[in-house]
Amino acid sequence: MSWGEYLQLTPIWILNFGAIAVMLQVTFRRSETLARAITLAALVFALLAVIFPQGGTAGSAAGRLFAADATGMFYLGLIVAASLAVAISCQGYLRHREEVKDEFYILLLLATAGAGAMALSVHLLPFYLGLEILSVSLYGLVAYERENVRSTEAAIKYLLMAAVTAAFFLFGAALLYAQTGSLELAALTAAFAVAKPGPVVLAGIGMMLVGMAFKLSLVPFHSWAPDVYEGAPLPIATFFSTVSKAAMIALLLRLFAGDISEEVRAVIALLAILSMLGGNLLALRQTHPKRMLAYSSSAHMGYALVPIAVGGPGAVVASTAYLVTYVLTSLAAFGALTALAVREPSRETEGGFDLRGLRTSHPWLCFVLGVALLSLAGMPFTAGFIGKFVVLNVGVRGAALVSVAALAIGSVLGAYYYLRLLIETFQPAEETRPVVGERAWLSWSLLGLLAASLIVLGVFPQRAFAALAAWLS
Amino acid sequence: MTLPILFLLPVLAGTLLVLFGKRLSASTAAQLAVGALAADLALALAVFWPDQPLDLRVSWIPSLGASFHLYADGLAKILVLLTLALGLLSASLAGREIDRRPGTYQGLLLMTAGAIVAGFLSADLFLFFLCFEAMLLPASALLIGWGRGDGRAAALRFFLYTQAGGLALMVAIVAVFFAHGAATGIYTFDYLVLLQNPLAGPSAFWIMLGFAAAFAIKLPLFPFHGWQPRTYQAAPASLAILLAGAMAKTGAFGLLRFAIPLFPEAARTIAPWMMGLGIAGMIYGALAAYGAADLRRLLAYSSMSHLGLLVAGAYSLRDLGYQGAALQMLAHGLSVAGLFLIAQLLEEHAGTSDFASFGGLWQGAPRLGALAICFAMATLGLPGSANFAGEILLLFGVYGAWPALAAVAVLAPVVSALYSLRLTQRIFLGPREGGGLARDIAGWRLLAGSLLVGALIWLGFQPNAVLRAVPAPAAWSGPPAHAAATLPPPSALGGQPVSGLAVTLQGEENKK
Repeated sequence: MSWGEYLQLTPIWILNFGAIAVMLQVTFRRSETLARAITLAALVFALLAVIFPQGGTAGSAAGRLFAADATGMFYLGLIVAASLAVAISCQGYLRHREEVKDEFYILLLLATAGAGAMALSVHLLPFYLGLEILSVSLYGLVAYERENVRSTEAAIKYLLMAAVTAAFFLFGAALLYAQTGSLELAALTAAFAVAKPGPVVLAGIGMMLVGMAFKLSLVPFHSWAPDVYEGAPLPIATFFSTVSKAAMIALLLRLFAGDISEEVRAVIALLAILSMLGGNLLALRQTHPKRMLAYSSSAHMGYALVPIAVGGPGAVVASTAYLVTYVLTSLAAFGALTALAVREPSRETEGGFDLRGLRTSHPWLCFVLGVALLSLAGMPFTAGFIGKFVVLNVGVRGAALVSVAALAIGSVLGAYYYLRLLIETFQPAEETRPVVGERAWLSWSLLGLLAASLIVLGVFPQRAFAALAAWLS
Repeated sequence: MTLPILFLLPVLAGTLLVLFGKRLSASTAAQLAVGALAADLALALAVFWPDQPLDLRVSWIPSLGASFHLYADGLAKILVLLTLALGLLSASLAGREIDRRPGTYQGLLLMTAGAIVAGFLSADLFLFFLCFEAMLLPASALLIGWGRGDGRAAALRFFLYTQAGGLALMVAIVAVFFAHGAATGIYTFDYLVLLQNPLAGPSAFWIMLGFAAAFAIKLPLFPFHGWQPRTYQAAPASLAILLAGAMAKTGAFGLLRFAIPLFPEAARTIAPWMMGLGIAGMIYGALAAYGAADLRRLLAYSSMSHLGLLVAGAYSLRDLGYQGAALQMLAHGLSVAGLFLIAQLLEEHAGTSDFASFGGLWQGAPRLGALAICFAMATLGLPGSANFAGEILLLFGVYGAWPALAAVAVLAPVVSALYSLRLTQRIFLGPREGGGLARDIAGWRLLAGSLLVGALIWLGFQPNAVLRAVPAPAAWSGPPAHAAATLPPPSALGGQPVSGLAVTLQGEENKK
């Protein structure tokens, strides 16, 4: 790799060096404030390195591991920005929950670096390495509250299922390698772009899809999500919902966005339809907001998958637009819950999360959560509606009737449980709770920014949408 | 131009009230809301006075083909004025009715009214859809926060039913976008552009069903009315006025504006079904209203009954049917508002509008009784009221399309009389039951009621004032073509107001 190509990976370098810096800091002096500061600085610089890319344009064709192309850099930027939001929102979260806080930030930076590598890679080897770095860091992050049995349980579940599905992914990659002799994504795409790919290729793709669907918590590979979201600390649930999904969607777009065979399209469509319907149906019975949001994330990934299943020129833009609105909304929703858990830790009980009385005790958080829930439900004048509308556009244009019907039905179901959660915040509180935590001003301002962006993007989406379409083409 | 102000003013005023008006007293909040709506109504009257339609188009989301296009023709103007007037009445009533967080209540009421006005003014399918959905949110919030009885369940039902229709509408408008684009090469959501090339063929039929489903649920049309009785019972009277008087008209407006003109061939195919459902709903609603045990349920079913006839007349695809629908929307809005005003007074006194709690109120409250009789007579379609004028035009429309159904439709005043007279008799006449009212209707509520009665009577004798403004569009010129597209004004015929109808009937007989 030439010097220029190394420089293109500057954001990943910054994240790695940031993790090393925190490791060194921990050796000398334990201080959560310092670790946070280094983490935030690393993430900000990484984001700047994405906005102002170094090392010239993408590298040459054959034998490359990474490509800093438009799609890759966009997803890298999205991943780093989401991670930055997660890092900001966990201010004060660990204070009453865990003794040792510094390693959290090391793992966070490493997980982001892994996800970033997944977004930029055009070869299965660095992709898999990035996937494993992300997964292993997440094992530690999910289990971070060592005294909490649920966290450890969630981490074990995630470990086992991630390992199994990663094995499926590798097996599928091996089958494709056997067929094509290459691990580059371009060669793999060529293998199933033909009209009738052979059984080996189809089996390979199927097994790889198992691994990918697990990460995206698509139905029927979704059963880990509610338990893991519930057991993990809230900032990590946010991370799962945003960074993890964005990294995997990047691979899906690289592999399946072009001309692919009908069978593969049908499988992706099936995954999408099952997720849209199953995710929403399963969320109906949930009362715990974290579990509900876990199931709903399956449904939202189903919506994001519809343009990929339909194909056509606008598919990449549509999926990415949906993902961006989903990431913003998730950050707002989970961020509000995190800020609430920081202020009143007694709300987060063993099997639930008490949101009653939020309107009177924390009107600002209630407002942010309300906007986020309305956006998740796809209400007009929110960003979530615009994302859903764009996906619907692609679906109707491609005459994918079943997918469109599933989208419509799923949206109605979704409206019910999001509304129900919103109503809960207006109910009077059962008891007055002790306000223990600090008022995290940085986190609250970020929440304000997110809520404002959700509304602005809902009313005036033109500029952002046109800019996205221009960047990705 | 001033068109956006007509809905921005209530929406912004409402938002300010919701954000900052938590601690306002009921009277201050009512004064602010009434002031905002009165200013808006005055502005609307001033802007709408000249006879030509108003048009405003601003580019909004070109990537999606959506523009910010407002268009105020006669129908839209009438409905906007109706919404603002009813909003004014609601806000004043809420000042009396709501004692818990009145500032927030008035703010949400203003936002609902603003969203409804925006819906009536939209001439872009995307914008219309956004307003159609957006008006649900403040209305649901009002139901949840201030609902009588189980507001939460009623609100969820209302929201989900309407949302289901809304999703069908969303898919349908995207389908129209692509179908129109494939046929003409122009990809847009703009209503006036889409109107020039209406869609035809089997796909157009399914798309039209999406539109019709959404509006059928909104109206509601039998049998999609599952959300209505509970919602009308749970809503505070001021909200119920806005729901029954204005929001239900959004459904009718959608049919008249979008579902029929954009798909004339599909509309002709489905017309017999819709007319049948409309008349069935009319009979069913009237019978259910007759069997109702309290005034709110009666009003819910009576509303369904009237709007059923309206849909039948609209789908007759005759010009008289269209004009009857327009007039009936106005008349029904006014009369149902009057009845909810009465209901609010009764509830204020007795806490319930159950028929069992009232009886013989006329003795103690003659003015209230007089008003109630007037509204009841209007509801049953007594000649001289605007409702009669609307109904007779609708019946002419139905007769022109399906004479056998018109024989059933003619039962409209009969079945309406069942429950209207029952309502009057149970509450105001007969032996005194449950104690009388503390005092008779007085003050501004008496004034509001009298104004409503006055409007109904005036429109009953001078319907041309409204009909002149709503000439039937091309989709309603079903065979045989009538000699007169509108009723000629009385002055043109030398002071014989009935001759217009005679001319039309003769024209029909000549063509047979």
